Amino acid sequence: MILTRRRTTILFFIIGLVVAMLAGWIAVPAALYESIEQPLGFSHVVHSSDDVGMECDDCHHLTSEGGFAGIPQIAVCVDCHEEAIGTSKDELKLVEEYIKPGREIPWLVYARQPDNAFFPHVRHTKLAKIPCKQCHGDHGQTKTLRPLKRNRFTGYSRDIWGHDFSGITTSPPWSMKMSDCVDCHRKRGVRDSCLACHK
Amino acid sequence: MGFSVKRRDFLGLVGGGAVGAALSPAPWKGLDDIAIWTQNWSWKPRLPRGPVEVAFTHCGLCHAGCGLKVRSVGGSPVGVHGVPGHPLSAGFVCALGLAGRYLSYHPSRIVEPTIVGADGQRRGIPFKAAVRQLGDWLDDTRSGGGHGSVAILDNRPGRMRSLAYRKWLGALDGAHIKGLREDTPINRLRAMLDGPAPELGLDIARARTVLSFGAPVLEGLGSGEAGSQLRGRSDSDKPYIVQIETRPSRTARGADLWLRIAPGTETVLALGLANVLVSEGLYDKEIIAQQALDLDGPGGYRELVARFSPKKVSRITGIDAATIKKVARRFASGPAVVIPGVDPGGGPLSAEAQTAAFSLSLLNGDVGRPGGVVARRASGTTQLPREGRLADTVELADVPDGSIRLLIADGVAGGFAIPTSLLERKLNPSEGRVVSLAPFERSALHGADLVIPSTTPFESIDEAGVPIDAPVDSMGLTVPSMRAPDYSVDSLRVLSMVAKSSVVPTITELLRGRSDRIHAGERGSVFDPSKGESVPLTEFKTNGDLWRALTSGGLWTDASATFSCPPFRLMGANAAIRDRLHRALEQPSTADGWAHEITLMPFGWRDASGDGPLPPVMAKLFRETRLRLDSRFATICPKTAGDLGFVEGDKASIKTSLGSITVEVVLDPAVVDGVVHVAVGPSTEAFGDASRGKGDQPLDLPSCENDACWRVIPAKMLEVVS
Repeated sequence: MILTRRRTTILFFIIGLVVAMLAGWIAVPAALYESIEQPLGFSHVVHSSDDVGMECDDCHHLTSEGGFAGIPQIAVCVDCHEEAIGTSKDELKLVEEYIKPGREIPWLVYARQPDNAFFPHVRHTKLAKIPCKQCHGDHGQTKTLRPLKRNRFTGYSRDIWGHDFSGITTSPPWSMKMSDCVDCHRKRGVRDSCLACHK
Repeated sequence: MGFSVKRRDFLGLVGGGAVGAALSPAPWKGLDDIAIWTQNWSWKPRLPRGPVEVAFTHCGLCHAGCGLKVRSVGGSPVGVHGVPGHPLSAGFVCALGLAGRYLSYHPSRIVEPTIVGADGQRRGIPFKAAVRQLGDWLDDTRSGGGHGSVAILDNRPGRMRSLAYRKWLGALDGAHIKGLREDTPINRLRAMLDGPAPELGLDIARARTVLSFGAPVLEGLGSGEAGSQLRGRSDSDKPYIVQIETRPSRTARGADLWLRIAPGTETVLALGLANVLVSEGLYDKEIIAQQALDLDGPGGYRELVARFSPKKVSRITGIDAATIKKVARRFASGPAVVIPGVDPGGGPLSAEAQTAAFSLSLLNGDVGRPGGVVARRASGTTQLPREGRLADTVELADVPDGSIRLLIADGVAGGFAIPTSLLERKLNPSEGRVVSLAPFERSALHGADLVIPSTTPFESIDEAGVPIDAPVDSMGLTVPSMRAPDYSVDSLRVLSMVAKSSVVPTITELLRGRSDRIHAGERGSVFDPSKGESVPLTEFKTNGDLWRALTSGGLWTDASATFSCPPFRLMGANAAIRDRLHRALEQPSTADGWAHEITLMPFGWRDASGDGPLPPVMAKLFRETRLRLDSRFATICPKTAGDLGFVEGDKASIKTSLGSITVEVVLDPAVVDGVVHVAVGPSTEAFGDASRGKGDQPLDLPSCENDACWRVIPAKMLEVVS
C-alpha cells in the first residue's frame, strides 16, 4: 500500500513536470509572441538572381557618414517598379499603394534594437569584419519575408532574444541581447563599458 | 479499491510543475521581459522613427558660433558632433553645445505667454492677448516717455536682427542696449581711438604674449577651440600666457604665469605695468610719438603712470615688484594681446580697468599689427532691406538710471548673467515694465511683467556669432534642426505685430539680404562642412548659390584687412574714466558704509550657461561629480574659513546690504585670503533650471553702484544655525 501511494505521488510529480515543461517550452513561447505579417511580400532571391542582378548593398548600404541605411526608401523601388512588373498581387499592391502615392512601405524590422542602444554597423562590418548573416541569418536567400514575431510584453522582435527560446544559440543567426554584445566584446577584447553602447 | 488524490499527490504535482518550470526557459525569459516591460511604459516619450539624416549648422548657444554636424532620426536630432576643419571652431564643441539640443525639452521651458496680474500672481494668457498687452504698454510709454523710454536689451548685438531692433526702436526714439558679451571691452578700446574705428578682433593665435585679466583663455574663450589649440601647441610655438585673476580658475592653473591679484586692483596693476614700459622706454616710440594725444602735459598719461611704481603697486595688488617688471618686459618683447575678460557671472572689469589694460596695447603698438588687435571689415551688416532711422546702441552701464519705462529683453542665449539690481536701477521706479521674449526664464528677468516665449537656438534660423579671437568677419547660420513648437514665436514677429509706424522685416529677409551683399562684395571664401574645405566666394556664380551654401551649414569668412592705428587717447576720451584712473591709488570706500568682513566674487562657468538653463544631462553630471560647482557652494581658503570659524561642508549665509544666500563651504587653498567665490548660474539640483526664486542667486546681492561692475562685493559670512 505504501509503495502504491509513493508511486501515485511520483506519477503526479511527473505529470506536473511534463505539463510545466511543455508549457514552458511550447505554450509560453507560442502565447508570448504575436505574429505580424509584413505589409508586402518580397523575395530576396529574385532580386539577387542573375536576371535582376542586384547586390545586397544596392539597398542595404553604409552611408558616407558610416551610418547604416537599413531598409531602402521607396525611392529605391521606384527605379524599377514605377510601373508594375508582372501581375502578382504584391506587385500591384506595391505600385498602387506605395509607389504611386509616394508612401513609404511600413516594413517591420526583425533586428530593431531598443532606442537606448547605439549600434554602429560600420564598426561591426568593416572593422570587426562580422558577416551580416551572423546576426541577421541568411536573409538574402529567402523567397518570402517571414512574419515578425513580436513580444507582447516588450514589443521587441524575437530575433533580439533569438529563435531558440532557451536563449542558447549555437549557430548563426546569433541572438542580439545585451549579454550577447558583452560576451562578444569581451571575447574580442573590445571596450564593453555601459557607455560603449548606451550613449 | 478506489483512486483517491491525497494532499501528498497534490504537493507532488506542484513540485513537479515547479521543477518542470525551472527546467524550461519561461521563468527566466519572463523575468527578462518584465524588466524590459517596466522600462517601456506606454506613456513614456519615444524617439521618432524615420530616415537618418546628417545636416550641418552652427551653434547658437553663445557667440562663439561653433560648426556642428547634427545627426537626426525622423526629424529629431539625436547626435551632435564638431566639424573638423571649420575655420572658427576647428571641430571643437563644448559640453553645452553637445547637450544643447536637450534644452528644447527642458522642464523650465516657457510653453505659453504669461503676465503678472494686479494681484502679483503670474498667469497664462493667449498669444494674441499678450501681443495686445505689449502694444498697449508701448502706446502708454510713447505717450508719456522721452528718449530711451522704450528699450531692447540685445544679448548679441551686431546681428542683422539687431539692426532690425534698432530700426524698430528708431521709429520710437528708443534705445538699443547691448547685453554683456565677451568682446564688450573691445568697445572700450574703440572708444580710445580718435575717429571712427572698425570692428576689432584679437589675434591670439599669432601673439607672443597674452595678458589676460581674468579671461578664460584656456577654457573656451572666443572660438572655443582656441584654448585647446593653445594647450596643444609646443612651448616655443605658443604665446606666453599671463593670467591675472583672483580665482584659481582652470586658465589660472594652466597659464605660464598666474598673478594672484588682490580683488579689484586690476587698474592699479595695469598702470604699474605701464609705468615699467614708460620708465624703461619699452613702448613703441614711433607710434606713440605720432598718434598718442594725451601722453605728455599736465594730467597726461606719463604723469599718471609715474605714480604707479612697481613697489607701490606691489603693496596694493599683492604681486611683487620684480614680477611686475618681468611681465612688463615680456609684454614688450613682441606682439601681445591684452584681454580684459568678461566673466559669465562676475561681469566686466570696471571701465577704468579696461581702459588701463588697453592702454598697454596702445603703448606696445599692438593695435593694427598681426598678433595684436586686428580690424574686421564690415560685411553686409550696415544696410537693411528697407531703409530707416536706426536707434543708437548703448552699453547697459551708460543707460541713465530710472530712464526705461518699457524694457524688451531679446531671447537669444548670451551666456552672461547680469544682476537683478542693475536692471532694476535702469527701470523707471514707478512705471518700469519688463517684457521677456526668451524661451526660458532667466535669472535677471525672473520677475518680467510679460513673457512671450520664443524659439530655442536649434529651432530657428539666425546668425551665429563672430568670436572675439576671429581676425576676420564671418557669416554662419544656425540652421534649424528641429521644428519649433507652436507656442514659440520669433521676436521679430512679435515686434512686427505691435509695430505702429514701421515695417519689421523677417529674419530670413534680413539674412538673405546680408548674404546677397556679401556675394556682391566678391571677397573671402566659403567653407563647405560636408567636404571640409573652403572655396573662394567668386566661385559662387549667383547669390542664390551662396544662400544655399549658408543654409546648408556653410560659413563665409572675409578676407583679412590691413588697418593702421589712428590717433588715440591712452586714458580714453571719457572725463569720468580719466578721473577714476587718477584716483586709482585711493582706497575704495565700502558701499553705503556697509561693514564687511569678506569679499564675495561671483563667477560663471564659461561652458555651463551663466544665464540660461543647463541641459538636464549636464545638471546630473555636475551634481554627481562636482565638476562644476553651482551657486549652492562657496569656495574659500582654509585660513579665511578658520578665521571665520568654518570647516568644509558647513552651511553659511553670505550677506550683503541687499540680501543673503545660503551656501555650503568648500575649502581650496588656492583661493586668495579674504575672498569667497560663488558660481552664478543654473542649479544642478533642479534639472539645471536657471529660474530659481529671487534672492537665491549671488547676483541678487550686489548693488552695482560703481560703474555697473559687480566683480567685487563687500559681504559678511555668517553661520547658519539649523
